[in-house]
Amino acid sequence: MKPKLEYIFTARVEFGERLRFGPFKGGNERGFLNVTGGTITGPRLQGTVMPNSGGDWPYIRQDGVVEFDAIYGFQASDGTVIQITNSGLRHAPPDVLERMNTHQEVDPSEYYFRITPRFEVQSGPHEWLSQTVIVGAADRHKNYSDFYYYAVV
Amino acid sequence: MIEVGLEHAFTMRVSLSERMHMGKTPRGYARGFVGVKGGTIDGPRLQGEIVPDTGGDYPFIYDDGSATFEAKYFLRASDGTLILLHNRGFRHGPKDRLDALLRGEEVDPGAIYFRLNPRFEVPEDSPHVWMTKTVFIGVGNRKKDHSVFTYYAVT
Repeated sequence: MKPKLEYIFTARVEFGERLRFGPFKGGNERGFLNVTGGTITGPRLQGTVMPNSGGDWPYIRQDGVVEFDAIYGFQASDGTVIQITNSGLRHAPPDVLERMNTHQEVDPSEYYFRITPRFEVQSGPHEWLSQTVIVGAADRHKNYSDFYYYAVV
Repeated sequence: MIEVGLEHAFTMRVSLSERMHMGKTPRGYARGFVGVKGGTIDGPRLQGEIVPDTGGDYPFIYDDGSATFEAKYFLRASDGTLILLHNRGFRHGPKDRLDALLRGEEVDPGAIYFRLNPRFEVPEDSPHVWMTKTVFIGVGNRKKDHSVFTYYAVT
């Protein structure tokens, strides 16, 4: 049986300045974006993105594919702190990538940006997040991204 | 909103070795091990075999019977390409059903949540390099001496 995807929430994550450094052995580079805040809305989780709780250290592969490597915090509206570790992939045709790298607005249908987050959560109403395979898609903007998350049920 | 879809990529039948289970560690979970002894891969996007004795799963097993998977082993596509699979996932459900699984009994898969998000490493010059550019999820079904994993590309 094919599993179903159930929309759970959207996280708008605001970022500070973007850094990019390297290349390292193998030709790959890394970036860094500090998470400066944001909001979480949706049927299964509401809350805020904890300001300055971490960030993303994307691994920029020599073939142009970006592998996400992010850790930061959410705070649910009931106060529960939730750690998110986000992995995922982003790639696009060269012309789209050029527009993204110069921070022009690009429609998310023009690139592939999919993620599989992991969560650490204490026992209670949000613990299911740490026991569920979740996938997401992102709409990237200059100073924030919108992440749409779906539980694999 | 961005709509996300699932597209069946392939299904693996993985033959497994004898299972090992160590006691609880200071981190509060036990570790297990099961090695891969071979198997087959079929489906629209990949065909091939599981390379025997190239690794296995080292699950984290909790007091409530739930498990978090942490597996690595090699696949070999029908064109000879070696593919390294890193499988992570969760299994949980009613305690008596999980205990039955751990005793080696077959359990109705509908009673168990067994979902995965694998990653693959593939040579850059192979036709399978798309597997390093795609996010996948999977569904697991544990049988007595093998497991079946059905993988879907996240579109």
